Amino acid sequence: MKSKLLPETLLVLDNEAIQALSDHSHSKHRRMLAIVERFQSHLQRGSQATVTVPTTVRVEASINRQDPATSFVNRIVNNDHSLDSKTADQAANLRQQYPYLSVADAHIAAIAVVDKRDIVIITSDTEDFEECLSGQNVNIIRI
Amino acid sequence: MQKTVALDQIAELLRADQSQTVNTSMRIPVALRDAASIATDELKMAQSTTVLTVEALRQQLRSLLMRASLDEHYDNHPESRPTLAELAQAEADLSNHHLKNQDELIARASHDILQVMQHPTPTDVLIWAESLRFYQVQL
Repeated sequence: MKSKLLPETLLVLDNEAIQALSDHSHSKHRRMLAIVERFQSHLQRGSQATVTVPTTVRVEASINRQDPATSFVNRIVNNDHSLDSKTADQAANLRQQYPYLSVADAHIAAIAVVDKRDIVIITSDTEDFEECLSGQNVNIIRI
Repeated sequence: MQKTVALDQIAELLRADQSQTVNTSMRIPVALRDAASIATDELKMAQSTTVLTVEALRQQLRSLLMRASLDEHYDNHPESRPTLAELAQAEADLSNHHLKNQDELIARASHDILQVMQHPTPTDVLIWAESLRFYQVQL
């Protein structure tokens, strides 16, 4: 068993994952905290993995970082992933090929294609991502 | 400063623009400095001792921030603390372990191991679950 996440790993949260993390009454809140707990354990052991939320996902989930209610999420999620030109082009291609992808989901899938790091996607739509990323080396985790 | 305010400030600073730098003097063990020097200059394992130090400091701060935030969250919402089985499942999922998505087997292993071991870790549960599966296949 791998003792830790690979150093260059990027954890990407989808809409439901970030909502579950931010809302303590969400039915999957504890599941998200279990993932964060183990992620923290990997960090403690020297992993340099990063957790991110795409900006389009934040819009879909109505997460405004300036809102004091997002304090807990702000402490857990290191950074936003902004949709730059290269990723937007890739996301557009993916939406053409897989029309069921929302803009936010296409952004997530495009990160997995463009980013050179190992990608872990935390999502409630595992089937959609498994289909559109079937050729990619991505760990897709269901919340 | 209140703890919660301090944690929010650390989070904000870790997300802030990191391009501005400052010189600082830091007292570190000579042997550690020399080891870092060999790692960077001789083995080219890192760009410089400064980069090594900054990255290590950032990672430690992120880890400590996450730990303190989780602990504070459990103080406010004790019901949200994950169970041992949930932690073991999360470990299997994050590590892409072959017990990924094996909720029932991991839940059973978690229940069983707590009968015989004090304070088992999520990794202990996964080993127990593997053992359960191995003997299921044998039978």
